[in-house]
Amino acid sequence: MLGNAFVVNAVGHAYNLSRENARGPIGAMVRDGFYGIHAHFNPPEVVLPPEVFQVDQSAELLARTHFLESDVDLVVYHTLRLDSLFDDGLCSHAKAVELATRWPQRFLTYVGIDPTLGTERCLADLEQQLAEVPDAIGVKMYPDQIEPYRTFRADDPELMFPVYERAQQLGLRTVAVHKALPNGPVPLAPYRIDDVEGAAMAFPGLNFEIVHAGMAFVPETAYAIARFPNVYANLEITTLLLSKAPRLFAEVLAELLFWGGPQKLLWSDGALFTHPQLALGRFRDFQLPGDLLEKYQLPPLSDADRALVLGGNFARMAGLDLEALRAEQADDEWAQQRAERGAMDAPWTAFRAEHLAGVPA
Amino acid sequence: MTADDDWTERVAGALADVCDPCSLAAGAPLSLVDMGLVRGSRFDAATGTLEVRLGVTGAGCTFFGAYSAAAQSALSRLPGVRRAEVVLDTETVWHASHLTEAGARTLAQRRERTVLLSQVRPRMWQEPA
Repeated sequence: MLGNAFVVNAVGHAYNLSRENARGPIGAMVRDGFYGIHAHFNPPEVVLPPEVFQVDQSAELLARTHFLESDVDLVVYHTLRLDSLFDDGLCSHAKAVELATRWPQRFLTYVGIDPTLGTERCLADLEQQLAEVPDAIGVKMYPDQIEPYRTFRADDPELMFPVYERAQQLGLRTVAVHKALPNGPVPLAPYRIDDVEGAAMAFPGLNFEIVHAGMAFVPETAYAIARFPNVYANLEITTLLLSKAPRLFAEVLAELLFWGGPQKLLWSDGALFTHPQLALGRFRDFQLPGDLLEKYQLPPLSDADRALVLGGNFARMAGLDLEALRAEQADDEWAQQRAERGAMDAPWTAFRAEHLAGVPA
Repeated sequence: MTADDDWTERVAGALADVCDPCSLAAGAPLSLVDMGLVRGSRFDAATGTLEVRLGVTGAGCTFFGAYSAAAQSALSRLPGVRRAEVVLDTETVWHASHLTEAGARTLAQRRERTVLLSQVRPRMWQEPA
Protein backbone atom coordinates (compact mmCIF):
# COMPACT_ATOMS: atom_id res chain seq x y z
CA MET A 1 0.00 0.00 0.00
CA LEU A 2 1.13 3.52 -0.66
CA GLY A 3 -0.90 5.62 1.71
CA ASN A 4 -4.41 4.32 1.14
CA ALA A 5 -3.69 3.16 -2.39
CA PHE A 6 -3.51 -0.53 -3.24
CA VAL A 7 -0.51 -0.82 -5.53
CA VAL A 8 -0.46 -3.06 -8.57
CA ASN A 9 2.71 -3.29 -10.62
CA ALA A 10 1.00 -3.98 -13.92
CA VAL A 11 4.16 -5.52 -15.37
CA GLY A 12 6.73 -7.37 -13.26
CA HIS A 13 9.57 -9.26 -14.92
CA ALA A 14 11.85 -12.02 -13.74
CA TYR A 15 14.11 -11.91 -16.78
CA ASN A 16 16.39 -14.68 -17.91
CA LEU A 17 19.28 -12.50 -19.01
CA SER A 18 21.90 -15.23 -18.78
CA ARG A 19 24.33 -15.27 -21.70
CA GLU A 20 23.31 -18.75 -22.77
CA ASN A 21 19.67 -17.71 -23.08
CA ALA A 22 20.38 -15.05 -25.74
CA ARG A 23 20.03 -16.28 -29.33
CA GLY A 24 22.60 -15.16 -31.86
CA PRO A 25 24.25 -11.76 -32.20
CA ILE A 26 20.96 -9.84 -32.15
CA GLY A 27 19.84 -11.62 -29.00
CA ALA A 28 23.18 -10.76 -27.45
CA MET A 29 22.76 -7.13 -28.55
CA VAL A 30 19.29 -6.93 -27.02
CA ARG A 31 20.56 -8.61 -23.84
CA ASP A 32 23.26 -5.97 -23.53
CA GLY A 33 20.76 -3.28 -24.51
CA PHE A 34 18.62 -4.27 -21.54
CA TYR A 35 21.59 -3.74 -19.27
CA GLY A 36 22.35 -0.44 -20.96
CA ILE A 37 18.88 0.85 -20.24
CA HIS A 38 19.03 -0.51 -16.67
CA ALA A 39 22.31 1.33 -16.16
CA HIS A 40 21.30 4.59 -17.81
CA PHE A 41 17.66 4.96 -16.86
CA ASN A 42 18.19 4.25 -13.17
CA PRO A 43 20.04 6.52 -10.71
CA PRO A 44 23.44 5.17 -9.63
CA GLU A 45 22.20 3.89 -6.28
CA VAL A 46 19.83 1.48 -8.06
CA VAL A 47 22.22 0.27 -10.78
CA LEU A 48 23.48 -3.28 -10.38
CA PRO A 49 26.73 -4.53 -11.92
CA PRO A 50 26.16 -6.45 -15.16
CA GLU A 51 27.33 -9.72 -13.68
CA VAL A 52 24.59 -9.38 -11.05
CA PHE A 53 21.80 -8.04 -13.30
CA GLN A 54 22.36 -10.19 -16.39
CA VAL A 55 21.39 -13.50 -14.78
CA ASP A 56 18.39 -15.79 -14.73
CA GLN A 57 16.28 -13.85 -12.26
CA SER A 58 14.18 -16.23 -10.19
CA ALA A 59 10.49 -16.10 -9.43
CA GLU A 60 11.32 -15.94 -5.74
CA LEU A 61 13.60 -12.98 -6.36
CA LEU A 62 10.71 -11.17 -8.06
CA ALA A 63 8.51 -11.87 -5.05
CA ARG A 64 11.06 -10.97 -2.38
CA THR A 65 12.04 -7.75 -4.10
CA HIS A 66 8.46 -6.58 -4.44
CA PHE A 67 6.95 -7.68 -1.16
CA LEU A 68 9.84 -7.17 1.24
CA GLU A 69 11.44 -4.13 -0.39
CA SER A 70 8.56 -2.07 -1.73
CA ASP A 71 4.99 -0.92 -1.22
CA VAL A 72 3.72 -2.99 -4.14
CA ASP A 73 0.84 -5.28 -3.14
CA LEU A 74 0.24 -7.22 -6.33
CA VAL A 75 2.39 -7.96 -9.36
CA VAL A 76 1.28 -8.87 -12.86
CA TYR A 77 3.75 -11.26 -14.49
CA HIS A 78 3.75 -11.46 -18.27
CA THR A 79 5.01 -14.57 -19.99
CA LEU A 80 7.14 -13.15 -22.77
CA ARG A 81 7.49 -14.71 -26.21
CA LEU A 82 10.63 -13.05 -27.53
CA ASP A 83 11.37 -16.48 -28.92
CA SER A 84 13.63 -15.26 -31.72
CA LEU A 85 15.86 -13.42 -29.25
CA PHE A 86 15.85 -15.65 -26.19
CA ASP A 87 15.55 -19.42 -25.87
CA ASP A 88 12.89 -19.24 -23.15
CA GLY A 89 11.24 -16.10 -24.53
CA LEU A 90 12.91 -13.99 -21.80
CA CYS A 91 10.26 -14.36 -19.08
CA SER A 92 9.23 -17.98 -19.12
CA HIS A 93 5.87 -19.65 -18.72
CA ALA A 94 7.48 -21.89 -16.10
CA LYS A 95 7.99 -18.88 -13.85
CA ALA A 96 4.36 -17.89 -14.39
CA VAL A 97 3.33 -21.33 -13.18
CA GLU A 98 5.57 -21.05 -10.12
CA LEU A 99 4.32 -17.58 -9.22
CA ALA A 100 0.65 -18.42 -9.73
CA THR A 101 1.03 -21.62 -7.75
CA ARG A 102 3.10 -20.42 -4.82
CA TRP A 103 1.59 -16.96 -4.34
CA PRO A 104 -1.79 -16.64 -6.09
CA GLN A 105 -2.73 -13.83 -3.71
CA ARG A 106 0.29 -11.79 -4.88
CA PHE A 107 0.70 -12.54 -8.58
CA LEU A 108 -1.56 -12.38 -11.58
CA THR A 109 -0.30 -13.78 -14.85
CA TYR A 110 -0.70 -13.15 -18.54
CA VAL A 111 -0.12 -15.96 -21.01
CA GLY A 112 2.29 -15.22 -23.82
CA ILE A 113 1.63 -15.76 -27.51
CA ASP A 114 3.57 -15.09 -30.69
CA PRO A 115 1.14 -14.22 -33.51
CA THR A 116 3.89 -14.55 -36.09
CA LEU A 117 3.49 -18.30 -35.59
CA GLY A 118 -0.08 -18.17 -36.88
CA THR A 119 -3.59 -18.38 -35.48
CA GLU A 120 -3.64 -22.10 -34.78
CA ARG A 121 -0.43 -21.95 -32.80
CA CYS A 122 -1.72 -18.98 -30.77
CA LEU A 123 -4.94 -20.83 -29.98
CA ALA A 124 -2.96 -23.89 -28.93
CA ASP A 125 -0.62 -21.81 -26.79
CA LEU A 126 -3.57 -20.15 -25.05
CA GLU A 127 -5.05 -23.52 -24.15
CA GLN A 128 -1.74 -25.09 -23.14
CA GLN A 129 -0.63 -22.26 -20.89
CA LEU A 130 -4.06 -21.80 -19.32
CA ALA A 131 -4.07 -25.49 -18.44
CA GLU A 132 -1.21 -24.70 -16.06
CA VAL A 133 -2.18 -21.16 -15.05
CA PRO A 134 -5.98 -21.38 -15.12
CA ASP A 135 -6.40 -18.07 -13.29
CA ALA A 136 -4.41 -16.05 -15.82
CA ILE A 137 -6.27 -12.89 -16.75
CA GLY A 138 -4.50 -11.59 -19.81
CA VAL A 139 -2.46 -12.17 -22.94
CA LYS A 140 0.87 -10.57 -23.84
CA MET A 141 2.20 -10.09 -27.37
CA TYR A 142 5.23 -8.58 -29.08
CA PRO A 143 4.88 -6.87 -32.44
CA ASP A 144 7.68 -8.65 -34.29
CA GLN A 145 10.28 -11.39 -34.38
CA ILE A 146 13.56 -11.68 -36.27
CA GLU A 147 15.46 -14.17 -38.35
CA PRO A 148 13.49 -14.06 -40.49
CA TYR A 149 12.02 -10.67 -39.70
CA ARG A 150 8.24 -11.00 -39.39
CA THR A 151 5.46 -8.90 -37.97
CA PHE A 152 1.68 -8.69 -37.83
CA ARG A 153 -1.12 -6.27 -37.06
CA ALA A 154 -3.14 -6.61 -33.88
CA ASP A 155 -6.27 -5.77 -35.90
CA ASP A 156 -5.70 -8.43 -38.55
CA PRO A 157 -9.16 -10.03 -38.71
CA GLU A 158 -7.98 -13.37 -40.10
CA LEU A 159 -4.97 -13.78 -37.85
CA MET A 160 -6.01 -12.17 -34.57
CA PHE A 161 -9.79 -12.04 -34.27
CA PRO A 162 -10.13 -15.79 -33.65
CA VAL A 163 -7.50 -15.43 -30.93
CA TYR A 164 -9.37 -12.59 -29.24
CA GLU A 165 -12.65 -14.48 -29.48
CA ARG A 166 -11.10 -17.53 -27.85
CA ALA A 167 -9.38 -15.40 -25.21
CA GLN A 168 -12.74 -13.93 -24.26
CA GLN A 169 -14.34 -17.36 -24.16
CA LEU A 170 -11.57 -18.53 -21.85
CA GLY A 171 -12.26 -15.66 -19.47
CA LEU A 172 -9.22 -13.54 -20.25
CA ARG A 173 -9.84 -9.86 -19.61
CA THR A 174 -7.07 -8.00 -21.35
CA VAL A 175 -4.58 -8.05 -24.21
CA ALA A 176 -1.27 -6.28 -23.58
CA VAL A 177 0.82 -5.32 -26.59
CA HIS A 178 4.43 -4.19 -26.34
CA LYS A 179 4.68 -0.92 -28.26
CA ALA A 180 6.93 2.14 -28.59
CA LEU A 181 10.30 0.57 -27.72
CA PRO A 182 11.87 -1.36 -30.60
CA ASN A 183 13.57 -4.62 -29.70
CA GLY A 184 16.83 -4.23 -31.53
CA PRO A 185 17.52 -2.89 -35.03
CA VAL A 186 14.05 -3.53 -36.46
CA PRO A 187 11.53 -1.38 -38.32
CA LEU A 188 9.57 0.92 -36.07
CA ALA A 189 6.18 0.74 -37.78
CA PRO A 190 4.87 -2.32 -35.85
CA TYR A 191 5.56 -0.43 -32.61
CA ARG A 192 3.02 2.24 -33.54
CA ILE A 193 -0.35 1.91 -31.89
CA ASP A 194 -2.95 2.26 -34.60
CA ASP A 195 -3.52 -1.50 -34.90
CA VAL A 196 -4.52 -1.63 -31.23
CA GLU A 197 -7.35 0.76 -32.04
CA GLY A 198 -8.73 -1.55 -34.70
CA ALA A 199 -8.69 -4.51 -32.31
CA ALA A 200 -10.30 -2.48 -29.52
CA MET A 201 -13.10 -1.37 -31.84
CA ALA A 202 -13.82 -4.94 -32.89
CA PHE A 203 -13.72 -6.34 -29.34
CA PRO A 204 -15.35 -3.84 -26.99
CA GLY A 205 -15.64 -6.54 -24.33
CA LEU A 206 -11.89 -7.06 -24.18
CA ASN A 207 -9.38 -4.56 -22.81
CA PHE A 208 -6.22 -3.57 -24.62
CA GLU A 209 -3.11 -2.24 -22.98
CA ILE A 210 -0.58 -0.15 -24.87
CA VAL A 211 2.55 -1.21 -23.01
CA HIS A 212 5.36 1.35 -22.65
CA ALA A 213 2.78 4.06 -23.30
CA GLY A 214 4.45 7.43 -23.29
CA MET A 215 7.88 6.31 -24.49
CA ALA A 216 6.97 7.11 -28.11
CA PHE A 217 3.91 8.03 -30.16
CA VAL A 218 2.50 9.91 -27.20
CA PRO A 219 -0.19 11.87 -29.05
CA GLU A 220 -1.39 8.75 -30.85
CA THR A 221 -1.54 6.87 -27.55
CA ALA A 222 -3.36 9.78 -25.94
CA TYR A 223 -5.94 9.84 -28.74
CA ALA A 224 -6.47 6.09 -28.39
CA ILE A 225 -7.17 6.22 -24.65
CA ALA A 226 -9.41 9.23 -25.30
CA ARG A 227 -11.52 7.45 -27.90
CA PHE A 228 -11.89 3.91 -26.67
CA PRO A 229 -13.25 2.89 -23.26
CA ASN A 230 -11.31 -0.37 -23.44
CA VAL A 231 -7.83 0.96 -24.25
CA TYR A 232 -5.39 1.70 -21.43
CA ALA A 233 -1.93 3.22 -21.22
CA ASN A 234 0.39 0.83 -19.39
CA LEU A 235 3.23 2.98 -18.08
CA GLU A 236 5.92 0.28 -17.89
CA ILE A 237 9.36 1.91 -18.29
CA THR A 238 7.77 5.34 -18.76
CA THR A 239 7.67 5.64 -14.98
CA LEU A 240 11.48 5.43 -14.95
CA LEU A 241 11.41 8.93 -16.42
CA LEU A 242 10.44 10.09 -12.93
CA SER A 243 14.13 9.63 -12.12
CA LYS A 244 15.77 10.06 -15.50
CA ALA A 245 13.85 13.03 -16.86
CA PRO A 246 11.10 14.18 -14.50
CA ARG A 247 10.05 17.09 -16.69
CA LEU A 248 9.57 14.71 -19.61
CA PHE A 249 7.51 12.40 -17.40
CA ALA A 250 5.35 15.35 -16.38
CA GLU A 251 4.78 16.34 -20.01
CA VAL A 252 3.87 12.80 -21.03
CA LEU A 253 1.57 12.32 -18.05
CA ALA A 254 -0.14 15.66 -18.61
CA GLU A 255 -0.89 14.83 -22.24
CA LEU A 256 -2.24 11.39 -21.33
CA LEU A 257 -4.31 12.84 -18.50
CA PHE A 258 -5.76 15.54 -20.73
CA TRP A 259 -6.87 13.16 -23.44
CA GLY A 260 -7.73 10.03 -21.45
CA GLY A 261 -8.13 11.02 -17.86
CA PRO A 262 -6.60 9.38 -14.77
CA GLN A 263 -8.92 6.41 -15.25
CA LYS A 264 -6.97 5.19 -18.28
CA LEU A 265 -3.46 4.85 -16.85
CA LEU A 266 -1.91 1.68 -15.39
CA TRP A 267 1.05 1.95 -13.05
CA SER A 268 4.02 -0.20 -13.96
CA ASP A 269 7.79 -0.03 -13.94
CA GLY A 270 8.89 -3.39 -15.32
CA ALA A 271 10.80 -4.37 -12.17
CA LEU A 272 13.17 -6.16 -11.91
CA PHE A 273 14.35 -3.88 -14.72
CA THR A 274 14.41 -1.28 -11.99
CA HIS A 275 13.73 -1.42 -8.28
CA PRO A 276 9.96 -1.29 -7.64
CA GLN A 277 10.19 1.22 -4.80
CA LEU A 278 12.16 3.76 -6.83
CA ALA A 279 9.49 5.13 -9.13
CA LEU A 280 6.78 4.53 -6.50
CA GLY A 281 8.53 6.80 -4.06
CA ARG A 282 8.96 9.49 -6.69
CA PHE A 283 5.34 9.24 -7.83
CA ARG A 284 4.14 9.57 -4.24
CA ASP A 285 5.84 12.99 -4.13
CA PHE A 286 5.18 13.94 -7.76
CA GLN A 287 2.97 16.83 -8.80
CA LEU A 288 2.39 18.31 -12.22
CA PRO A 289 4.13 21.66 -12.64
CA GLY A 290 1.98 24.75 -12.89
CA ASP A 291 2.72 25.50 -16.52
CA LEU A 292 1.43 22.07 -17.57
CA LEU A 293 -1.66 22.41 -15.39
CA GLU A 294 -2.26 25.71 -17.16
CA LYS A 295 -1.49 24.37 -20.64
CA TYR A 296 -3.85 21.41 -20.33
CA GLN A 297 -6.33 23.03 -17.91
CA LEU A 298 -5.84 20.15 -15.50
CA PRO A 299 -6.43 20.14 -11.76
CA PRO A 300 -3.46 19.13 -9.61
CA LEU A 301 -2.96 15.40 -9.33
CA SER A 302 -5.01 14.29 -6.32
CA ASP A 303 -4.52 11.33 -4.01
CA ALA A 304 -7.64 9.85 -5.57
CA ASP A 305 -6.04 10.17 -9.03
CA ARG A 306 -2.88 8.55 -7.72
CA ALA A 307 -4.86 5.67 -6.23
CA LEU A 308 -6.56 5.08 -9.57
CA VAL A 309 -3.27 5.02 -11.46
CA LEU A 310 -1.48 2.92 -8.84
CA GLY A 311 -4.02 0.13 -8.75
CA GLY A 312 -7.64 1.19 -8.93
CA ASN A 313 -7.72 1.24 -12.73
CA PHE A 314 -6.07 -2.15 -13.06
CA ALA A 315 -8.44 -3.65 -10.49
CA ARG A 316 -11.45 -2.28 -12.34
CA MET A 317 -10.12 -3.39 -15.73
CA ALA A 318 -9.32 -6.89 -14.48
CA GLY A 319 -12.44 -7.29 -12.35
CA LEU A 320 -10.49 -7.72 -9.10
CA ASP A 321 -12.11 -7.76 -5.68
CA LEU A 322 -9.60 -5.66 -3.80
CA GLU A 323 -11.22 -6.23 -0.42
CA ALA A 324 -10.94 -9.97 -0.85
CA LEU A 325 -7.35 -9.64 -2.06
CA ARG A 326 -6.39 -7.47 0.87
CA ALA A 327 -7.88 -10.05 3.22
CA GLU A 328 -5.90 -12.85 1.57
CA GLN A 329 -2.70 -10.85 1.78
CA ALA A 330 -3.17 -9.56 5.30
CA ASP A 331 -1.59 -12.56 6.98
CA ASP A 332 0.34 -14.25 4.21
CA GLU A 333 4.03 -15.10 4.41
CA TRP A 334 5.04 -11.72 3.01
CA ALA A 335 2.91 -9.78 5.47
CA GLN A 336 4.35 -11.88 8.29
CA GLN A 337 7.91 -11.31 7.16
CA ARG A 338 7.29 -7.58 6.84
CA ALA A 339 5.81 -7.52 10.35
CA GLU A 340 8.84 -9.40 11.74
CA ARG A 341 11.23 -6.99 10.06
CA GLY A 342 9.27 -3.92 11.11
CA ALA A 343 10.38 -2.08 7.99
CA MET A 344 11.14 -2.55 4.31
CA ASP A 345 14.40 -4.23 3.41
CA ALA A 346 16.89 -2.01 1.63
CA PRO A 347 16.67 -1.98 -2.18
CA TRP A 348 18.13 -5.05 -3.83
CA THR A 349 18.66 -6.90 -0.56
CA ALA A 350 17.25 -10.05 -2.14
CA PHE A 351 19.12 -9.56 -5.43
CA ARG A 352 22.44 -9.13 -3.68
CA ALA A 353 21.78 -12.08 -1.39
CA GLU A 354 21.02 -14.28 -4.38
CA HIS A 355 23.78 -13.12 -6.72
CA LEU A 356 26.41 -11.32 -4.71
CA ALA A 357 26.92 -13.67 -1.78
CA GLY A 358 29.70 -12.44 0.48
CA VAL A 359 29.98 -9.03 -1.20
CA PRO A 360 28.78 -6.14 0.99
CA ALA A 361 26.06 -3.93 -0.46
CA MET B 1 31.28 34.19 -40.20
CA THR B 2 33.85 32.20 -38.34
CA ALA B 3 35.37 29.00 -39.62
CA ASP B 4 33.25 27.10 -37.07
CA ASP B 5 30.05 28.77 -38.27
CA ASP B 6 30.97 27.83 -41.80
CA TRP B 7 31.27 24.17 -40.89
CA THR B 8 28.07 24.25 -38.83
CA GLU B 9 26.23 25.46 -41.88
CA ARG B 10 27.90 22.95 -44.17
CA VAL B 11 27.11 20.09 -41.78
CA ALA B 12 23.48 21.23 -41.59
CA GLY B 13 23.31 21.34 -45.36
CA ALA B 14 24.74 17.85 -45.70
CA LEU B 15 22.35 16.42 -43.11
CA ALA B 16 19.25 18.20 -44.44
CA ASP B 17 18.28 15.05 -46.31
CA VAL B 18 19.15 12.54 -43.61
CA CYS B 19 15.88 11.81 -41.89
CA ASP B 20 15.18 10.58 -38.41
CA PRO B 21 13.59 7.14 -38.84
CA CYS B 22 10.88 7.65 -36.21
CA SER B 23 9.64 10.84 -37.80
CA LEU B 24 9.41 8.96 -41.09
CA ALA B 25 7.29 6.31 -39.42
CA ALA B 26 5.11 9.03 -37.92
CA GLY B 27 4.41 10.50 -41.35
CA ALA B 28 6.22 13.72 -40.49
CA PRO B 29 9.69 13.36 -42.01
CA LEU B 30 12.20 15.48 -40.18
CA SER B 31 15.90 15.76 -40.86
CA LEU B 32 18.41 15.15 -38.09
CA VAL B 33 18.89 18.92 -38.06
CA ASP B 34 15.18 19.66 -37.59
CA MET B 35 14.99 16.95 -34.93
CA GLY B 36 17.67 18.77 -32.94
CA LEU B 37 19.96 15.74 -33.03
CA VAL B 38 23.05 17.48 -34.43
CA ARG B 39 24.94 18.41 -31.29
CA GLY B 40 28.15 19.85 -32.65
CA SER B 41 30.96 19.51 -35.15
CA ARG B 42 34.70 19.95 -35.32
CA PHE B 43 36.93 20.08 -38.38
CA ASP B 44 40.64 19.34 -38.26
CA ALA B 45 42.08 21.15 -41.25
CA ALA B 46 45.44 19.38 -40.86
CA THR B 47 43.95 15.94 -41.41
CA GLY B 48 40.75 16.83 -43.22
CA THR B 49 38.76 15.03 -40.50
CA LEU B 50 35.25 16.20 -39.74
CA GLU B 51 33.79 14.94 -36.47
CA VAL B 52 30.06 15.41 -35.89
CA ARG B 53 28.24 14.60 -32.65
CA LEU B 54 24.73 13.22 -33.06
CA GLY B 55 22.19 12.51 -30.35
CA VAL B 56 19.32 10.09 -29.91
CA THR B 57 15.81 10.95 -28.79
CA GLY B 58 15.82 8.27 -26.13
CA ALA B 59 18.36 6.12 -24.35
CA GLY B 60 16.80 2.97 -25.73
CA CYS B 61 16.99 4.09 -29.34
CA THR B 62 18.43 1.37 -31.51
CA PHE B 63 18.39 3.37 -34.75
CA PHE B 64 21.52 5.38 -34.11
CA GLY B 65 23.57 2.93 -36.11
CA ALA B 66 21.33 3.35 -39.12
CA TYR B 67 21.10 7.12 -39.25
CA SER B 68 24.68 7.73 -38.14
CA ALA B 69 25.83 5.62 -41.10
CA ALA B 70 23.65 7.68 -43.41
CA ALA B 71 25.00 10.85 -41.84
CA GLN B 72 28.60 9.75 -42.22
CA SER B 73 28.01 8.99 -45.87
CA ALA B 74 26.50 12.43 -46.47
CA LEU B 75 29.24 14.21 -44.52
CA SER B 76 31.98 12.34 -46.40
CA ARG B 77 30.84 13.99 -49.62
CA LEU B 78 31.47 17.51 -48.32
CA PRO B 79 34.29 19.27 -50.17
CA GLY B 80 37.48 19.30 -48.11
CA VAL B 81 36.47 16.34 -45.95
CA ARG B 82 38.92 13.47 -46.18
CA ARG B 83 37.35 11.56 -43.34
CA ALA B 84 33.99 11.95 -41.60
CA GLU B 85 33.38 10.58 -38.13
CA VAL B 86 30.06 10.45 -36.32
CA VAL B 87 30.08 10.06 -32.57
CA LEU B 88 27.18 9.52 -30.19
CA ASP B 89 26.39 12.36 -27.83
CA THR B 90 25.52 10.73 -24.50
CA GLU B 91 25.28 13.92 -22.49
CA THR B 92 22.10 15.57 -23.72
CA VAL B 93 18.65 14.25 -22.84
CA TRP B 94 16.59 15.02 -25.93
CA HIS B 95 13.46 17.02 -25.53
CA ALA B 96 10.85 18.27 -27.95
CA SER B 97 12.14 21.80 -27.36
CA HIS B 98 15.24 20.75 -29.33
CA LEU B 99 13.23 20.65 -32.54
CA THR B 100 13.85 23.54 -34.88
CA GLU B 101 10.94 25.88 -35.54
CA ALA B 102 10.36 24.23 -38.90
CA GLY B 103 10.53 20.77 -37.35
CA ALA B 104 8.08 21.66 -34.61
CA ARG B 105 5.73 23.12 -37.19
CA THR B 106 5.83 19.98 -39.35
CA LEU B 107 5.11 17.77 -36.36
CA ALA B 108 2.31 19.99 -35.06
CA GLN B 109 0.63 20.03 -38.46
CA ARG B 110 0.81 16.25 -38.65
CA ARG B 111 -0.80 15.94 -35.23
CA GLU B 112 -3.50 18.47 -36.02
CA ARG B 113 -4.37 16.46 -39.09
CA THR B 114 -4.66 13.31 -36.98
CA VAL B 115 -7.04 15.00 -34.54
CA LEU B 116 -9.17 16.36 -37.41
CA LEU B 117 -9.31 13.04 -39.24
CA SER B 118 -10.08 10.92 -36.19
CA GLN B 119 -12.37 13.55 -34.63
CA VAL B 120 -10.94 12.78 -31.21
CA ARG B 121 -12.08 14.79 -28.21
CA PRO B 122 -10.62 14.71 -24.69
CA ARG B 123 -12.13 11.86 -22.66
CA MET B 124 -14.65 11.07 -25.37
CA TRP B 125 -14.69 7.48 -24.09
CA GLN B 126 -16.87 8.79 -21.28
CA GLU B 127 -19.48 10.22 -23.65
CA PRO B 128 -22.74 8.31 -23.95
CA ALA B 129 -22.73 5.96 -26.88
